[in-house]
Amino acid sequence: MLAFIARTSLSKLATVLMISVVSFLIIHLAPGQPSQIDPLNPRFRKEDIARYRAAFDLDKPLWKQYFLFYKKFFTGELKSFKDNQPVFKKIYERFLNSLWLFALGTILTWCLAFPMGVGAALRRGRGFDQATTFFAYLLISIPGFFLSYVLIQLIVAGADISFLGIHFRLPGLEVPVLGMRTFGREDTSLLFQINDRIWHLVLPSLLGATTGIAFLSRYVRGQMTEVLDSDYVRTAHSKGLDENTVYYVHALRNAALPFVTMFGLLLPGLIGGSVIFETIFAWPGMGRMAFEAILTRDYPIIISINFISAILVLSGTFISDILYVIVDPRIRL
Amino acid sequence: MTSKIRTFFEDDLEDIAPTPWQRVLRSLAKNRLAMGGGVFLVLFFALSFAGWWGTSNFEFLKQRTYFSWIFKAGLLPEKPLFDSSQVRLPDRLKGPLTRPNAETVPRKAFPIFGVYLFGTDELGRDVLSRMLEGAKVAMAVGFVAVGISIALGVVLGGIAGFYGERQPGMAPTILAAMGAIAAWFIPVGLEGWWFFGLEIILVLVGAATGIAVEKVPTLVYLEKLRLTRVDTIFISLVDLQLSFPTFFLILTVIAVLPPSIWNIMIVIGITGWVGPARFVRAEILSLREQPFIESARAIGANDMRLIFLHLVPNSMAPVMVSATIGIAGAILTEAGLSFLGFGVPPPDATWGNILSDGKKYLFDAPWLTFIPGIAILLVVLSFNLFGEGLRDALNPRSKPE
Repeated sequence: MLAFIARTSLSKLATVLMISVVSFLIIHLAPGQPSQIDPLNPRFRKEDIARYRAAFDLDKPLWKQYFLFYKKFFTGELKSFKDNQPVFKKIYERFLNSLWLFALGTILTWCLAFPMGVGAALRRGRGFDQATTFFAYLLISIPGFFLSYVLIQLIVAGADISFLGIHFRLPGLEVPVLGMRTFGREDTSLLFQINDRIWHLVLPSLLGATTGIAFLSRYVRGQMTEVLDSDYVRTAHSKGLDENTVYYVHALRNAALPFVTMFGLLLPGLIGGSVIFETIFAWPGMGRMAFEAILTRDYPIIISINFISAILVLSGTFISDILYVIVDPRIRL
Repeated sequence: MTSKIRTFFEDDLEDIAPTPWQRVLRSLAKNRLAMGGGVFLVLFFALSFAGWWGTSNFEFLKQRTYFSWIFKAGLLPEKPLFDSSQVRLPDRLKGPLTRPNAETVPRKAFPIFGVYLFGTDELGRDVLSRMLEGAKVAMAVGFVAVGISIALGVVLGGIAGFYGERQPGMAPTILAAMGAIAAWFIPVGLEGWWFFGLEIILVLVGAATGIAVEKVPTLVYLEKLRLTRVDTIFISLVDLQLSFPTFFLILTVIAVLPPSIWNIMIVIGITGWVGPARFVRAEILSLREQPFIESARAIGANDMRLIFLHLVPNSMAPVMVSATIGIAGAILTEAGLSFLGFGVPPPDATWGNILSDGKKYLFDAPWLTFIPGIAILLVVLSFNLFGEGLRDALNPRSKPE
């Protein structure tokens, strides 16, 4: 066990080094130097170029730039180009906002995907199975931004449906969905605020979770069917245990083992998807900040978000690797 | 007479032992969802070729006088059949199936069939033409990006699968280090010449450690930790790729690079190598112990020949599945980038662009949102369904009927 942890953490450490190099080099992909970006932009003044050069120590060799950048990063001296605030503070504030979406998105993913997958595996080849299969593919294939606009339209404004001469008014719920809270209602009761927050949370977190729900439910179905075909489940059936015990105590426990690792794998999707959904729903989180930073070429923020989210994902996979070994005694090190 | 006998035998044989391809096709034909996806994909290919033909200006032919007969003979239209950049300001935001305003729009700016099948956008451009052009772009992005991912994945996965347990010796170390040099020089350009010396030192150190770890018995504990094995390196590369939120990484790189459709294809392609590489590696791990590899080695085939002529072609089945699904992903990613304003630059119309421009008119002109959105959904869905059907059909464990 200790040797496994030592080995894994050493190789993860090497990966962290590579992550830092890649995140740093991204901005050097630009033709010329980072400071020469967009010279035609009228807002790009001499002071800005000087700031770029100072921030990246562009007069020094590349490897020195790299070390100086990460020295500033880890000592917290790194400042955003936009407002000269420390990068860490800005990202931390936004991260707390995104955490709402991540948490609810993860809960939704697991609570919806598991029943879907297990139910489909138990009714293999029947209507429910085919329906959930098709539904999962639909969720994977639908462009998230398109679905968001359709849902905003339907839930907030409703729709007038006229089909073959029949007119039907689908009432909209007329709830606020953009932003984190309704503007100008800060002094209302606690109940109202909680309700308000829930309405703002539901759509973006559900949309962020769609891909995860689809993938996970397919995966659960695959695992569960494999276990249901195994000998010990047949034995359990034949010794007369009732169905629910066989399915939910014997089969599900083994089928659920690999999902410890899914925590780490679903995280990048949540963070990557948040760029689109937080932008659409005006949610002041990490993804939207990343998008704004890209628009304003706020390089310290861009590099830091790439670096930090990669580290988050990497530690997620590391923890789930270790958990997997602890949970499944069959895994030999 | 003979032909009859032969058909009789062939029919007989077919019933007894279908060839692997027949088995795959039969199993695919039974899967209704996959067949539906496949039929729709054929339709999509036809549409995107029609889009290429109908929206192209054939500029490359017009520039050469010796091709002018093509236009004189009427084999190709002088002006594109579906002109996606024709602006008609009087006809802004007209709904689907409406006719152009004959009093204000000149006759030669009329759309084909004299009707806006899919309506017009905020500049009065024909949405049908723009959708056709978008189909062309979507297919190009999907196929080129996935082609790049597969090329990368096959090389990396092939090498990792074949050399898995080895500690890299002299040659691979130097190769890898040269790759590193190349990777550093692309961004730095030749201004980084001073870096060359450092790299040479790194190469020498790397090669020396490679030799030392293989040869010197006192360093065996390093081998026990399996830190320098090809597999470990491969896994940490996979880790590196999977740690980055892919969409955000692509967005960053695209934003920094000058806008061009090629950059988008290349970046989506480079970030998608993990899937194919893992499949190739897994297949090769089981294939390399088989007798046909042993016999090829006995004839004197070298490693590269074994990997790329014997092992990789035999491990292509799962790669095809991951390619089909990868195309769907690439189309979705491109649409997402276009939606955020970092996609294929104008004047090329893409489905993401049309949707992104149309979202301002969600209530007044919903067709600008729904037509491209549903088109993306249908194409991506049919790629996914067909890919999954292919996976089931290729899976030897799936039950033969």
